[in-house]
Amino acid sequence: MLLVAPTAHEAAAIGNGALVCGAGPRAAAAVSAMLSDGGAGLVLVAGVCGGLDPSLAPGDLVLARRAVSVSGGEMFTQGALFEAARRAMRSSGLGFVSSSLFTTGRPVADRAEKTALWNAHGAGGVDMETYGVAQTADAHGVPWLALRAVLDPAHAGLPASLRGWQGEGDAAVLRRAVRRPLEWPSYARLALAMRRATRSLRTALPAVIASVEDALDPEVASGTPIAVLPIPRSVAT
Amino acid sequence: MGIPLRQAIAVSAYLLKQKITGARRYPLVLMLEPLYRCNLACAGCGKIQHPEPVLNTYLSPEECWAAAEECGAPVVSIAGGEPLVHPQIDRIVDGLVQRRKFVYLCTNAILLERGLPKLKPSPYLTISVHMDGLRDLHDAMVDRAGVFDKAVAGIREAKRLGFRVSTNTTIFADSKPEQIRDLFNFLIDDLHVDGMMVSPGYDYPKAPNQRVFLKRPQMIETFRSILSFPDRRRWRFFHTPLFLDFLQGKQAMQCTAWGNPTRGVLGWQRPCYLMAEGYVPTFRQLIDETEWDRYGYGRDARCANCMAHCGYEATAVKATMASPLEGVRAGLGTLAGKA
Repeated sequence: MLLVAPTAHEAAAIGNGALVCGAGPRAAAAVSAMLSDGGAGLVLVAGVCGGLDPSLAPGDLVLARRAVSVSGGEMFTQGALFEAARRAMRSSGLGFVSSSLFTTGRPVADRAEKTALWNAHGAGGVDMETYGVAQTADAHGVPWLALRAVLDPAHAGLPASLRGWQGEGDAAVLRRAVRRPLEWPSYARLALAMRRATRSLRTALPAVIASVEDALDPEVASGTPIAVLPIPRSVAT
Repeated sequence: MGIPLRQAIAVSAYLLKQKITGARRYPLVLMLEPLYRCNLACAGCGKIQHPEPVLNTYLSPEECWAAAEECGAPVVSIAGGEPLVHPQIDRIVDGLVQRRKFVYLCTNAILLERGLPKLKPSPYLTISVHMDGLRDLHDAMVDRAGVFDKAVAGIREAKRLGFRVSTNTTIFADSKPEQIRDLFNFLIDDLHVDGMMVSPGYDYPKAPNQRVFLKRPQMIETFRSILSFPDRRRWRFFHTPLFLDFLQGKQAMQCTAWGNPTRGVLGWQRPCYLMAEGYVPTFRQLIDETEWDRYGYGRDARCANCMAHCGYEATAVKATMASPLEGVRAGLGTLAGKA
C-alpha cells in the first residue's frame, strides 16, 4: 500500500508511514513515479481539505467514494475497498461522512465560493490532489482511496494571504503570516484546526489501513509493507 | 420565522435543553403517519404505493401517543395517507394536544368540512392544508377536479370555527413562479391563513409522474424567482429565514434526517420521511443503529435533488439557535408574524 500526503507537515503529523507527494497537480506525477518505481496494491491519499459540507467541523473526516475535477471528470473508488474502510471507521466510532472530494488547482478560501461548489457538486470537501492522484492510480491499474480531515469548515474562509498557496512549506507560510498581523487570529484558528485534523487522521488511519489490507487481493497485498517506496527528491517539500 | 410565539418559545426551550444535556441527535418534528390510505392519487406522491394489506393497516391512537412520547419531539406532523380518512383521528389529535405537542394535521381538505366538528380548536393544533396552486394547477397536481374548491371551503370553515390554519405547498416542475405568487397572495389576502409552508417536491422513484420533479439547480432558480416578488413582504411562512435562504441557494446546508423521524404503520422508518430502507420497532434503534454518515446531499444519490423541509428545516433551526444574529432575525420574524 502506498500512503501519501500532500505536504511534509501533513505526512509527519499523520504518521503511519505516509510519504510526501506534493501539493496540487504535481502530486499526480509524484505518485506516478512512486508507482513506477515500486508498485503497490493500493494508493491511499490522506491529508486535510476545505470543508464544503456545512455539517462538518474542523477535524471531521471525509472518506471519498468519488473524486470530482473542475472540468466535471469523476473517479470512483473500488466498491469493496471503500466499504471495508467505511465499516472500519464506523466500528471504531470515528466521526466521518462518506462523500465526494472536489479537486481544484488552488485553495478555495471564500465562503460564497464554497457554497456555490457545494450546491453544484455536493462534495464533502475540496482539495488540490485527490482527483489527479486517483487518475494516476487508475492509469497504473491500482485502486485508490482518499481520506481527508476538514481544516477550514464550510462557514469559514482562509486568511487572504493563503489564497495563492501552492504547497509551500511551514516556514514560507509563517513568513506570510508574520507580515500580516490582522490575519493572526485566522492563522491561530487554522493552527488549532490543523492539530485537530491531523489527530483525526492519525487516529483513523490504522483501522482503515488494516481493513483495506484485508480486503485487497491477498496476492497483491502480501509482502507489500506500508511505505517502503523511496521519496522522489523532486517532490519532497 | 412566522410560527406562533408559544411554539417558538417551547421549541427554543427544548433545543436549549438538548444543548445543555449534550444530546448529539434529537428529533424536532415527529412525522406521524397513522395510515397510508389516501383519497387522492397525486402526481408527485410516493406514499400510496403500498400493497392493500398495508394500506388497510391503521395505527391506533394509543400507538400514536406512544410514538410521540417515545420520540419526545415538541412538534408532531400528522401526515400519511390522508389523516382525515382515519376513523379515530380526532382521538389521536386530542391525545397529542393533551400531551402539549404542537400538532400539524396535514390534509388535502376533501374531508375537512365533515371532520371539523370532531376537532377542537387549540393553540396546539394547526390544520395544514395541501395547496399546490390555484384551481387549475392544484386540481391538475392532485389529478381530480374540484379539490381546490373543497380545500378553499374547508379553510374558510376552519377559520370561521377558530382553528389555526396553515398551508403546505409543494413546488413541482409545472409550478410557474407567477402562479405560486398568485397562490400565496390568495392564501394570505383572501383566506387569511395563519402561515404557509413551502417545499420542493422530492423525486420519489415510485411517484406516478416522474416529469413533475425539478432538479436542484432549477429548484434554486424557481425559489429565487418566487421569493423575489415584492409581494413576498406580506407572506407569512412557518419557516426559519435560514431555510428560505437555503432554498434560494444563498445558504449551504446538509440534511438533518434524524431531525424529523417518521413513525408509520410499519414502524420507525429508516432513514427519513422520504426514503424507506426499512423499519425498526423503536425510536432508539432508529437513532442508534442507522448509518447516518451514508445519507444526505453529496452522500447518497437519492438525496441529490432533495431540498425538502423535512430534511433541512431542522438544520436551519439548529443553525438559527447557534447564531445570535440569526436568532434575532428569526425572533423579529416571529414577533412581526413573518419570515
